[in-house]
Amino acid sequence: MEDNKKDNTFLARWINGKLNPKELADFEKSDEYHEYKKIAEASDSLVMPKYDKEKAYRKLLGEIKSARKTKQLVPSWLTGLAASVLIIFGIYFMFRSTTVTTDSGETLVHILPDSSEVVLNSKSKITYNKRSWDKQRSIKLEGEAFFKVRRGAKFEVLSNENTVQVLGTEFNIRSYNNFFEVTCFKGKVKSMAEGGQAILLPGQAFRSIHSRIEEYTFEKEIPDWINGESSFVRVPILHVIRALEDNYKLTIEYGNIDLSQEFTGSFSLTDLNLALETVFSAMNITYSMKDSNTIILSGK
Amino acid sequence: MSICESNTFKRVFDKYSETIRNFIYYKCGDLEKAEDLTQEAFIKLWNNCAKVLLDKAKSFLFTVANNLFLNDYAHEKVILQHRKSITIDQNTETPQFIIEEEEFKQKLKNAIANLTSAQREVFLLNRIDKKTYKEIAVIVGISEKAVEKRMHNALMNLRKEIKNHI
Repeated sequence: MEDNKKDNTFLARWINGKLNPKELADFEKSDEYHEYKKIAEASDSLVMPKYDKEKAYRKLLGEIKSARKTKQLVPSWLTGLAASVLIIFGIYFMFRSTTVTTDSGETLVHILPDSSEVVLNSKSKITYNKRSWDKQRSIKLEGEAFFKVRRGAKFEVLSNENTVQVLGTEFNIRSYNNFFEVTCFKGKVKSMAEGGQAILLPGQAFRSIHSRIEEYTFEKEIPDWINGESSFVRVPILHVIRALEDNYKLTIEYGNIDLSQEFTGSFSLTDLNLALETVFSAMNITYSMKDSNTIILSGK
Repeated sequence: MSICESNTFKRVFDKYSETIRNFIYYKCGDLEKAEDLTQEAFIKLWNNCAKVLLDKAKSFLFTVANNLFLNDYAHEKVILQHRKSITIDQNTETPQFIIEEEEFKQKLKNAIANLTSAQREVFLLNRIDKKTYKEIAVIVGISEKAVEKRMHNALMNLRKEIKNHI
């Protein structure tokens, strides 16, 4: 079977009955042939547990009907958040809260009442209570922001199920669905999430991606995005795509690409074509513009 | 013909639900999870029924099912069953070849559980669901050539693994 070592679809064609008579005759003479024949025959008799289609359909209809009843009660902007977070933040920040939001492609510096600074990246949002700020520095974050915190009372950043506590430092937080990352640039940061916590010193980072906890080190002095580049270290491409969409106000259709492939690298936050080229050519993904706001992806 | 019409929606369900359920099962080996994710995929289709054209439903479903799976990391060993070709009668002496056949099938099932998820899903979609390589390419989201490569590698690895356990 010498030739077959180079022909990497030979067995697939054989089991499908697509070999030519000569190829088949040669293969049948080989030593391995009867072993493969056994595998083909035995695997042919494999079965899955029986599938009751009607029962599954009735269950689906029941699910759709009950979802419809509760669907009307929940406004669409709430569906992204976990219910428990809603209860905590909804009530606490309902009165006298200050909210700052950025749009796609926008960054903003916001000075807090104690002169601490927050630099917000695209499509991000912070909420805090101005009145009680000198007693309790608690700020809620959705998206990405770089913080420069003055010494003072305990400073807390709350996002999804995570809390970051600091005492006068510089750090960056990324908080999105299934992706939470804290990088410490100065001072000391304590990051707490379900599944773990970490105390970070400058040059250290902590993250939880799809509940997988990871700690790593880095050598930058400020986050790359402040200088116009968004960078990622071994991050599932799903999140890189989301970052592209947020920054450039796009809709990206994934098609059938493998969203769990890990991407390491960065993309420009100011040049769309360069950004698309750098991200997708590295991952062997082709992209095309459907219109000025929509990109379609496909694997090579 | 809109997917929002219940007859059309049911037809789509009848056509693809079993394949999706099997496909997810081959990936993770958890039947309950496979059924739950299949259900979720159809719920998403229903919620988007006004935006998804009928001829795009298949692609939508398989992509959504795969993405739902990616966000959910519990994996268990894939345990399969097989049709017993003959009932083993306790009273009469079982011919040696039948015993060997059953043993071989068990070895095969263990070897399948040890394949990579990528090879296993292609192999089982072909052997159990009798899907063509062209159909598998659409379900999994790769080229037909890539399907053949995975099938070839699956067979090679199965033979190697079984041989090592004799």
